[in-house]
Amino acid sequence: MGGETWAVHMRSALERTAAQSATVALLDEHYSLTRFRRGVVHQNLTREGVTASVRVMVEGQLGQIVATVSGPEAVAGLLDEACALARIGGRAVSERPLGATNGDDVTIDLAAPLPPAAVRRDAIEAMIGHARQRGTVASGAYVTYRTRTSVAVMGGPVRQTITASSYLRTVIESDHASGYAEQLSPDFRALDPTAVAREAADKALVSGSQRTLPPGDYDVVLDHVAVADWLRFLGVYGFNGQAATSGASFLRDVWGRPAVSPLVTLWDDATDPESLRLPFDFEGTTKRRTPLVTEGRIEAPVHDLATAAAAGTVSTGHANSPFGLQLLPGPAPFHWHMAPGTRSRQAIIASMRRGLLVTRMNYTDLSDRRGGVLTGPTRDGTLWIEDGEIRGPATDIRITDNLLGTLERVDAVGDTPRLVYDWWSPMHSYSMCYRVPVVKIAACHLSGASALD
Amino acid sequence: MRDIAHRALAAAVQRGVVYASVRVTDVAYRRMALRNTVPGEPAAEHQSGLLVQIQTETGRGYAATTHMDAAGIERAVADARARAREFPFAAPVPAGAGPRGTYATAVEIDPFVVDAEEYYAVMDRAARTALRHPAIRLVEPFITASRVTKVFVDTRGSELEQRLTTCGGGIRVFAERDGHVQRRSHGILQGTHGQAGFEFVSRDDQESRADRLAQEATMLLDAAPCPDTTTTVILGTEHLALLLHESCGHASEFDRASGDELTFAGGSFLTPERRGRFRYGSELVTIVADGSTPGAMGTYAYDDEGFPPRTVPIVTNGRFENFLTSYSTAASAGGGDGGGCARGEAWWGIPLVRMPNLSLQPGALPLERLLEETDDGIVMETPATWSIDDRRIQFHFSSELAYEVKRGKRGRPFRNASYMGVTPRFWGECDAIADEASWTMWGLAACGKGEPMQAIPVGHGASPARFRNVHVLGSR
Repeated sequence: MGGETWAVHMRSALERTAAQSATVALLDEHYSLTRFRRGVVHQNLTREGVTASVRVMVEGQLGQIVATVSGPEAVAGLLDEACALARIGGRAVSERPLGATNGDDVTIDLAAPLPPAAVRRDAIEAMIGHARQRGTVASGAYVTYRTRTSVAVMGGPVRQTITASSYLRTVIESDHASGYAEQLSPDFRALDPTAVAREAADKALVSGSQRTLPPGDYDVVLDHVAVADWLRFLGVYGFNGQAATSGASFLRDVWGRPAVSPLVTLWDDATDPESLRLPFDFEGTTKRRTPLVTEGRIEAPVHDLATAAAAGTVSTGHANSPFGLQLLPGPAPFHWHMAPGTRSRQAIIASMRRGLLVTRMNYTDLSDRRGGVLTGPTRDGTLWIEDGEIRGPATDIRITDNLLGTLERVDAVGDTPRLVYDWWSPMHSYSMCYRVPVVKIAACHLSGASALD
Repeated sequence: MRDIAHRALAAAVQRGVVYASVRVTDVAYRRMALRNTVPGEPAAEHQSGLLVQIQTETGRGYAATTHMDAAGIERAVADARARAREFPFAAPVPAGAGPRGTYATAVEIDPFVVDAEEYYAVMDRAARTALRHPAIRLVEPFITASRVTKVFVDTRGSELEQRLTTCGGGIRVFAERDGHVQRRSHGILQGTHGQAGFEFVSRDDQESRADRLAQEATMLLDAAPCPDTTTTVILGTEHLALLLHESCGHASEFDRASGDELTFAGGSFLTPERRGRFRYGSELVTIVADGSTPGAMGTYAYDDEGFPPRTVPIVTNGRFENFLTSYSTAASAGGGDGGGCARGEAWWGIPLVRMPNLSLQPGALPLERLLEETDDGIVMETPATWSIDDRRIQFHFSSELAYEVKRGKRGRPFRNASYMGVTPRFWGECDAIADEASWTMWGLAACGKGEPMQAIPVGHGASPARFRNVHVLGSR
């Protein structure tokens, strides 16, 4: 079914509903997952489906329903159900439209083609083969999405976009360590499976005796994915408009003030072709570049229509996806960018007398969310640096430190950003993604080691 | 649903398979909440679709779809078959005749026919009770209900229909003074839930609980920060439920040990060679998994490979005994008759090894005696945040509420308490477990695992337990 037909169905349903305001979002996904463990593909799945989210206001009361549907013709029935729900709900904060009503109908096709089965197979075999050649074993996944996202607002336009992403990742195990690497791109043709495997294998094969570090403060280089693991929490519990308006954000005392290293400049931009793009949010607000941290100054929270109304400002276009796992209550940055520095990763490592290289984190959380205390263990490539060189693997460690404090102690930023996910990204179509360089943090607090002995 | 399942299975068989199964799933969900006494935005969800698994001579493939008309079924079957032929994989093929049966949660009051007013009435009484305390600025009670109906058929003749109904909820109470905020809540992350009807929440004494939580949140405003120290810790039952989940439940899932989940969830320090030999905890520690406890969230009659759940001793008197397995992984795990732990989310989730209900067996000591016999330590109640490494060795959990214990008496409260541990060392320091009188089954609505992340309900039972030499931290 074509985009025009979708738009006709959505608009027709919105014209007939009893709601005083309504927003409809439709997600038509084609998803492919191939997972392999220790050289063998054990899960190979294709998934397709259409899901609708309908949000209405009736007599000032709100209701929401999410449902799998056969197609856009089912939207009218869902609007009726949502209206019935709204009649038992509470009053909205303000009787404002539930979506952005300005602008024209638009369909933006940003999707590169999906990889043919042979390409997917060759990619996985290349990764497994590279690992085998080097006496190691590879586990990993190749994930692709192709998604049509349609958002229709009562009294406003129908906006549609088609997007795609391809994601390769691997953990490679040697007899003494593991290494991790990933590549994420809107276009599968940009992925280099052998390079992914090589990078992970290089880390797994770093020689030298394993060092277990006692707790203390250490200089740490965060590789790209580890930087993403850090930034996620800056977004979810810091820049989140809901946390900000309720006073729970750990950034509450530093809005508009310099609070971190001047080397740190961050922004959110879902329109940058170097990232995964999304031209509008799930309320239909047009996406634009939003500054988050400018040379160390903390800018402002990001908003959807509700949090913007509460804060007396306008939406920044960060209404969260109503689909899938709701790990994130409230609006948050989803398309992170960090300004690169001037030094290569190699030069940063070469400048260190002693410290650690951290590839990725696992199950990071804030042990004190209002205080912004981050705690998380490292995994798959924790390497000991001494006299400017990587000297060997280190036992995975736990970092427990104040998130803002660590960003204040950033004293080097790499010159080459990469597009990555963080550990928590559940690989939904609209997971947080990050185009970030490596970052060095001085005196990061290591609170323990993942060692049985 | 049966008709759709059989049509999909017939389409698969027609194309030629060594084995095939079809799971058709329908999920209904509703959530209502209050913000103080004002109703929030009610939400409902309805998902339906099917998952086809096809095993050919060479491999195994899956396809999931929400399109359950003839064309959608044909496409899913073709996709699953194409996937099965892409990569070689020697999946075990279940032998013998498959079971036929039905199962439904025992429900006294159907939560999907209860009027919204009743939901709000239960929450409103709790909210008003909490708001009588002057320092309470915000109360957030919520109630959720879900119904998962699924039909499973396969080429060995299995025909299973299950209807699992859950209900539950929670309450979060926030006290505030001079910009300082403290939270108290009930349950783990998203409250607590049971496989039951609306009676699970309507017969619960939520007003008394709201009153207690409000008192505790107010008290925490004046509490001292928790000191950094190494001391004895007594973990409350809901805190232990989460610790069991993270440090034992996930660690004993065989697909983690075998590397299936290495790229995301991770592996496990419980490796096959450690089975039967490894000292996981002290002699007091016995942890058992089962999928048949009436009313618990991880209960079912058949898993998503068509096998009944089993009662599996995971840790017996401190020794690691068994992995949790699915039929697909049991042969690799060894150890005799395995399986029964395969579950997948909703209509699309590939069945993974998922813990069902996993519980710490109670000890012999009344809780009062356990406290009396503690000279110096800290009690930690509801978990606030948690983090654990990819092999489930080292963890850091924080607690909403902590108390000092001095000479057997509860003393002053502490705020922002947390602790770290190394799993077998921590459980090895367990020197007392309270008796059955304080044993509670907790229900988690959603445990995440897999790529993409699948959320599955699980249950955990525990009595409070005491651990020596614990590294306790305040907020850094």
